[in-house]
Amino acid sequence: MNNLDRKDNEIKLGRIGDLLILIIIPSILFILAFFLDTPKNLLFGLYRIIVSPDVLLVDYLRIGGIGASFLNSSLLVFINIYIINKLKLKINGALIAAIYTIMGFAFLGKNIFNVWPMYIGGYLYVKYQNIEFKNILVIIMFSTSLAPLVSDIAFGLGFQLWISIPLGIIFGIFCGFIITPLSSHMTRVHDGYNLYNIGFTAGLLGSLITSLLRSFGFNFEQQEILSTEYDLLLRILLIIFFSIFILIGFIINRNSFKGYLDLLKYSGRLVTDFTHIEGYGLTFINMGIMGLVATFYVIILHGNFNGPIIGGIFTIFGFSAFGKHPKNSIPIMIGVTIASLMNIWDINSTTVLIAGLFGSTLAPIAGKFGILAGIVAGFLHLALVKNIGFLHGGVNLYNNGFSGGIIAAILVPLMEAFKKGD
Amino acid sequence: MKHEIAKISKIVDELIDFYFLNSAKKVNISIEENKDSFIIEIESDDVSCSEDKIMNFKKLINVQRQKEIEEYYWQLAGTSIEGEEYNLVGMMIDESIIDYDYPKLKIKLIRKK
Repeated sequence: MNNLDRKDNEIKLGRIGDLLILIIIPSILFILAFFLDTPKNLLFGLYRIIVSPDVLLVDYLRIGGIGASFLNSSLLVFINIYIINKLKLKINGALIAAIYTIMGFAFLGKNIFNVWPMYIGGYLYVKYQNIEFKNILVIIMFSTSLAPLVSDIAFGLGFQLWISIPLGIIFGIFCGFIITPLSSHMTRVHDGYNLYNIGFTAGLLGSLITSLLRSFGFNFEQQEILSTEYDLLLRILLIIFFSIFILIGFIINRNSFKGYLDLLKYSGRLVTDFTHIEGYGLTFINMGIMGLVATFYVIILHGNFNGPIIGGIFTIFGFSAFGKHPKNSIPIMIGVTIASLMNIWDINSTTVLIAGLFGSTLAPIAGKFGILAGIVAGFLHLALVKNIGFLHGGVNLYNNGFSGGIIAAILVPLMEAFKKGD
Repeated sequence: MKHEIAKISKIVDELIDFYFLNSAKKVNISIEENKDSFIIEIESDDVSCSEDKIMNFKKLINVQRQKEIEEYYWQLAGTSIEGEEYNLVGMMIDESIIDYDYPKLKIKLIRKK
């Protein structure tokens, strides 16, 4: 059976069925939230999450508690899936990546207050350009990378709230308005070898805005607020979630893993949509496997499971529908680990671990140029990502995407130039 | 739609890559604009390509039109030295006919406005 036949032969669930699969994890989080905390604490936790400054590196598990964090994350996914359904979009790899990136970052900076100005900005952009909102939904979902900008202007600059909240919202709307043409153009800088392209775009935009604010005497204080108390629960939950996805994929793929090795042949360079090329069954299997790879990467290196780590793992999980697989991602993780063994940073610190997780934004380099190239990319990525946050003052949540864009823009032309053959 | 001509050029770029990466020496291209669509036809009489490669190419091209992907990533088409964005091309068109009878390869793509 060839690939085309296999994709056509898998169990078809339809658009709604695929959406339902995607809400399994957020639904579990939503229900767990009410078991783990009282309604009063959940509301108070959500309030604390909303009013906290969200520049990197923040952990909502510490700020709002585990119940409120689960609630925040699940609500954000529910609303986005409602929008996807309302626009009658067929689920594809990019949407899956966007959904789980939002779900993950809802543990470290995105909340039910600070993401919506970008959607309003996007809505104004489509009205201005006379195009449909569904055409830019993926970009807008990813653009919530700049959500901390809204929160920090609203609650972190020390203005009176009646001035600062509208000001934060206006900045967010502005970012949502301009992010579409910017992000589309920025793909050319790295030729699709940096999967978190919006991270690169938002990094440049965030650097400009932060520099502008600094020039007027306003500063965002970078922070490191991390939880330690939910480590075991989160490990167990993640392993269960990813095992469920492997099982669902296995069933959809007609009780088989057949074809999975074919999926590993793709470089993962943008645009590699596994749902279209290999079908939903193998995509869900790959997502589950990559989720486990990321989880055990943290466990093996004795890391602590907290909000940023969860964010990294769910982002890998989502992007495993859109380019990442073990063969192209593990070399990057190895590169980051080797770098951390050789340089000044602790191998099991959260910032180094999330560099390893999010560093898989460079997976297409390993997929295209080989394992050694991937290791080199990971090695360089750690050095850059530990320094680049200063530029945007932590307002760009996809800091690794910013670093990844620069690494890819430097490495790819060199590797192409010195490769043999045409 | 904005950048329509640029997008057509990107699609053609990517297809030219496929032909010349598969031994073509001469390629004829026709692009026609109708009231509601663009029709791109490309053919060559000297393409040497394995059955697997053609099947893979068809698999990547024969996907549903994805305007949300197109809006974000269209500028990537035609940028790779090795022409790897066939899946993206598939997401930017509505219909495709790929006819390979060694050594002749004819591709017809329709992109609705």
